[in-house]
Amino acid sequence: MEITKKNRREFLKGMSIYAGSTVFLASIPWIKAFAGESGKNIAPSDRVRLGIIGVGSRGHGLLLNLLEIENVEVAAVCDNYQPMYERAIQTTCGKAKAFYDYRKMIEEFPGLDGVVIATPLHEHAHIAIDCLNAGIHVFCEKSMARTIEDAKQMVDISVETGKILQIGQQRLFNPVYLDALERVRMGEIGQITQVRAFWHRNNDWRRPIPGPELERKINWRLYKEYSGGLMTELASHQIQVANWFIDQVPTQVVGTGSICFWKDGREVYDHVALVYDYPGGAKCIYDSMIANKHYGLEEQIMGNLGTIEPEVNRIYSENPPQAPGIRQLVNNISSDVFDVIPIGGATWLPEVGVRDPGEMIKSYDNNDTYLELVGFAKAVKAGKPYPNLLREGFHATVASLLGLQAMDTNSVVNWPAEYVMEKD
Amino acid sequence: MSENQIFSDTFFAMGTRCDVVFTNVESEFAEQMFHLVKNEIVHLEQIISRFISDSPVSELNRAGKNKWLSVPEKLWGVISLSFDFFQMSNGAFDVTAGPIISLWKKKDGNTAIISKKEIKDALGKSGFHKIDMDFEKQKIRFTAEGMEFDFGAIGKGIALDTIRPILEKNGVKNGIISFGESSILALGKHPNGKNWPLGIRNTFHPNKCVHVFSSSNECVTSSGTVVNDDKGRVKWRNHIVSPVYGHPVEGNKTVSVKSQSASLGEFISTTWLILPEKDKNILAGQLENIEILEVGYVEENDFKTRITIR
Repeated sequence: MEITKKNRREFLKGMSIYAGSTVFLASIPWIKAFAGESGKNIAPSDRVRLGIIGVGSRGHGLLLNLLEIENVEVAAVCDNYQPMYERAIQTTCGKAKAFYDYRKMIEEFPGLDGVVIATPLHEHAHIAIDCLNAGIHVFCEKSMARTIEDAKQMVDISVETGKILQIGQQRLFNPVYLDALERVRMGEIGQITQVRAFWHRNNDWRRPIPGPELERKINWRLYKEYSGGLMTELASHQIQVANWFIDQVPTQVVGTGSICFWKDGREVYDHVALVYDYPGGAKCIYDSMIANKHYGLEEQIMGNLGTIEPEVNRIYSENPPQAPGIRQLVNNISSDVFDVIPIGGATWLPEVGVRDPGEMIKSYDNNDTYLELVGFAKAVKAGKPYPNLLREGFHATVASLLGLQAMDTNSVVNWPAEYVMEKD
Repeated sequence: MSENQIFSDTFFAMGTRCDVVFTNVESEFAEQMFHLVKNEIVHLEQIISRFISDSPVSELNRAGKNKWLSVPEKLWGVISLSFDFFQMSNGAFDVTAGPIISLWKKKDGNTAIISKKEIKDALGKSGFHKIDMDFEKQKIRFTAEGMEFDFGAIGKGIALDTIRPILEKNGVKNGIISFGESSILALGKHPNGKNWPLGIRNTFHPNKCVHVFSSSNECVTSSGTVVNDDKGRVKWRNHIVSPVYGHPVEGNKTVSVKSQSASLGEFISTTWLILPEKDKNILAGQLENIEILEVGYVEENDFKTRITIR
């Protein structure tokens, strides 16, 4: 199979639109690094050699994206499940060296620049820590770890070793979210008081297994030992968005969870509902379930002047613009002016949809998973992490695990001070 | 700081934005009235819009020919009124003209690429006279294939006529309800005047008005063959087509009407673009309490107006 590399300059051209807004760029330094890219031809010395550990469903997707990045060489692939191992060899046309054990991989590739980790959640921490200690930069899928302590340790080791630890929160690189965030920071939707986020699916969340002995290995998401269920696999994406847009760390969380529909021996909730409180009173109201998909997924970011729905790429004003003549009339009345109200003629407005159509936030082509991996490759080449990026991933993980704790203990759980990362 | 209490809000319905302005009312009450207006209009739209797939109109439009179809009460009223207007205008105002209008729209008004056969075929699917109406049982029957109702030319007028008595009954005395600045209900008066001075813009010079309608408890509606942008440049052309002959109205013309009824205003503003002078005179003889402004733009800097007052 011939892999077509995407034109990096085209991508960078798209990202460079952010170059003009200095104040905004200061709040997303990882994008600032993109904007500063010259886009010149890539020398062989610019290439980064990456390995990927865990090439199951998500890992395979990441691998396909990596293969499209111009300056990335996927030198090694690793999976301890035979079918995935073989698929990865096939996908890389045999060019990448394949391993069953990640330890062997990092031993045999001391010159590996970085690794991408997409294993089951409970394995993230020890693999990431081993790689960081071996001097290898790490891109780790979200959530960071099965426990907050593990996630904290990953952060600490990353800081100690000076190696990059980037978490796969791809919305941080999504042009729609970035544009929406800029509009929020410019005050377009006013003060955010609530983010209502949800992720609804209608399936059992199971993967087919060749035999019962592989149930826990393949369906690891359903067992508490390996996974936080909906919280670590889905909610962490969306609570990260809430934290990012509200620009605060929650103070506390309450919630309830249940196994209400898929009573098939699973241990994790199939239905969760939580409320996160932020300093000043804003809230993130979150729910997820897998027995109805009508509403799909969304983060409804609500301010006193407008609403943003980034998943569907729309922004709505609380006060849609009036037709010009009516706007002039309202202004005149406010100023006690009696004047002609101009109507008809040139101000006739084009027909729009039946309901408030809102406005598209941004049109874009590149998928955000590709963009975050390009970002990782660039950081690896530069040899240093993007400021504040790990903070977003860490807080998203802590939020999802504290939410789980609130549901498990049926109590209000406060956010411990030691789990707040200050901004760089 | 003004002492005038103003409430204004906007919502989207009937393919455009609807601006609502109330004056001299307490804000909470104004908000209630706004929602009353919005709900009423959205409800009406759900009945008469052909773009809503499960609306009663869509169901009729899908039915095909030679089937007697029961019509819900509210829709029957709209169809009956449209039939009256069809008769009054000798077929110039026709809510079944969709196929012939669509033909011209599709070909962007280019006469060179529209054949006589295409026009004939489209006219074969148009014409209110091809609909049988059972007034007693409130049923209709299309007698030709491919026929459909399209109330786009009159829907906003009906909406304004529907909400006016509701607002009056609730004690709203002063305000403006405007659909895209082309269909407007002016209730009561401007807080600083005796009426609402509604100025019809010069379509090629948007900062100038060609006429001002002093309106109080009246409606002003406009139709035209050309829509310009804020700088007066032609943005697009409306294909106002004669349902009788199947050809579009030529030239740059607008007609604005001040009347008691917005539905009547919509009917007249469209019909006046189509009818020949002789027929307009006959129809004008049947009207009262109405002002009709015709504007013909000869060149960009030259226009002629004619006002008919009955």
